[in-house]
Amino acid sequence: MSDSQLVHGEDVAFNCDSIADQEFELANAIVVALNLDIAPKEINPNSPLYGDGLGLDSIDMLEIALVVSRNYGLQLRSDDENNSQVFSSLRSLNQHIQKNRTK
Amino acid sequence: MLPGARMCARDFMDQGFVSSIQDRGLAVDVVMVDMVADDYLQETFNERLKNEVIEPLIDQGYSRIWLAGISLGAYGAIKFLREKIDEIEGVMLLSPFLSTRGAVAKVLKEGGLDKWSPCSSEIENDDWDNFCWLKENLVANGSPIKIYVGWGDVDRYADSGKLLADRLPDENVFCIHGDHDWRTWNTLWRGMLDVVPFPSGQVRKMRIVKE
Repeated sequence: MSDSQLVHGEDVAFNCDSIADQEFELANAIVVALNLDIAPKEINPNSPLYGDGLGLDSIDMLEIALVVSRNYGLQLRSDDENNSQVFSSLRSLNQHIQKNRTK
Repeated sequence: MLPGARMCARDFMDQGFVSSIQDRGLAVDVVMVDMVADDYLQETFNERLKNEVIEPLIDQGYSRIWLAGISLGAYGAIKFLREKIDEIEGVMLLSPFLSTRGAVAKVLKEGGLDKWSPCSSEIENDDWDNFCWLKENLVANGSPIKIYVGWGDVDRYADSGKLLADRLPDENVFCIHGDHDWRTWNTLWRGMLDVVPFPSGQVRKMRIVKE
């Protein structure tokens, strides 16, 4: 089973290509917004965004929330109790966005 | 005073910002506003700040109102200036967050505010609003508002400070060795207080506004 297939949940029914495209688009937005010195494709969608993974911290997450708001019309509240899960990886963040985006 | 993300208004007292004003014998009354990060990004931010903080001060007779903000709080201060510049005499910005670091890097890469021109997609995008306003209104030695900016040299938002510094008189710019932390901001704050044209006297009132 490929990585892309692993994210197929009961209520997330995108084909493999579209999920990969979405994740790349999100990764690109993060790289551009944070001015990161890596290519979007280098971000492992399953690695943690925090700490040991991409090495981001809580201030970085605020900038990502800003970009998500602008690009997807979705407010990620800084005090949301689900944030640790939502921001746990690029894949998890993308799933949350696709479920709740308004544009 | 506008706190940054993951801070609260009370921090300005606990970190010595208010006592620094008192120690210098400045006649500055202080209002610390309890904003959370999301508040600054809301479209209603300016109206809330005006209705709940600024207008009550004007009604009480205050005619010289300054905003001080750290990081995202500085973003809020500039956002307020964009619409309510007539109500504010000056701003003190510490480690200002102007927009995403990618946006700041792009403006710097294009030669700073002087040479950068927003493309159509940037004009329609909120990420660039601060830059558009600053480009139009922040003119060295000629701005209608007094702006002071300070940052630590290894702060992740140091480039934002540099971008503003290009348009400000040297005496309004403070850069020291430091990071995105209270120790650095405290040193910068004290340095600013030594030069900002506040009248001598005593702090008569200080309060925290819960948003």
